[in-house]
Amino acid sequence: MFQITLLGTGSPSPNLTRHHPAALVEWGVGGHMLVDAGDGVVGQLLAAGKSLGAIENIALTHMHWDHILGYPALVWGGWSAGRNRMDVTGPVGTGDMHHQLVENYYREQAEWAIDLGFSRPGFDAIAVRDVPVGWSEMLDGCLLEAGPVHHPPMDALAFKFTYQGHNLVVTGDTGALR
Amino acid sequence: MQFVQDVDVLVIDACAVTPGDDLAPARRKIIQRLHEFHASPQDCVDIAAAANVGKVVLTHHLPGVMPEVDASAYSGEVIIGNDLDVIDVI
Ligand SMILES: [Zn+2]
Repeated sequence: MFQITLLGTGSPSPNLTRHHPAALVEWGVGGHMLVDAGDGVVGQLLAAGKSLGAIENIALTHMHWDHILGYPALVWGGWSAGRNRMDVTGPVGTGDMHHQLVENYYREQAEWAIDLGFSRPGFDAIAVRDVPVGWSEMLDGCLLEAGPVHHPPMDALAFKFTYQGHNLVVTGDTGALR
Repeated sequence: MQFVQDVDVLVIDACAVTPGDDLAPARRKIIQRLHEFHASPQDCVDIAAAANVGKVVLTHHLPGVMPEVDASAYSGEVIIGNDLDVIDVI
């Protein structure tokens, strides 16, 4: 199995049938990567029948609001659904986004939730890293690669997935590639 | 372009449509400027053709706009992506 579920095919303009950009790539047994997390991503994952607590890998193409508004909602939603770890990969600025939108503002509430019984790793074991064009890594038998796009003035990446000799590219936002 | 050469499936930003004449001038200006950092639906199909992509999936659509493309020079499949579509790579 190697497939992509389009969770949001819209633009920044709020729309009931076209949510903000997000897509779930899945391969093999349990191999997955959520690419982007615009507004509505949690609801769209549920609408697609996906288990929120099982979403542990996220790749963000860039930090425009329509690609990340749903990210804090996913951090909280997946945590309450039982997620115990999460890896977040994106261009320069990804770690800073997590720090500002999640860690800085929600740390106090997270400690309160942990005291209430939420598992500490669900919030603390979120590893966020900024990666450059050319980055690559194997994940559950799938080769992941970050490639160049043209989306000024943002630092932005496309992601390529190669599994069992077949491949998929999700560009995120880009002007015409040359 | 190298990065997408010969891929089986390309999911790509096709946001930069041609603004209709009926739009308010302010809206028209925004849509015209989108071309500086988004591809047009036709760009996406042209890229897919030039890079020998198997299947091109257009996404990042503006509300109420149906992208129009001329795919006569492309032998692969063009999919206008919709929310909750599932596309098989294998
Ligand atoms: Zn963008």
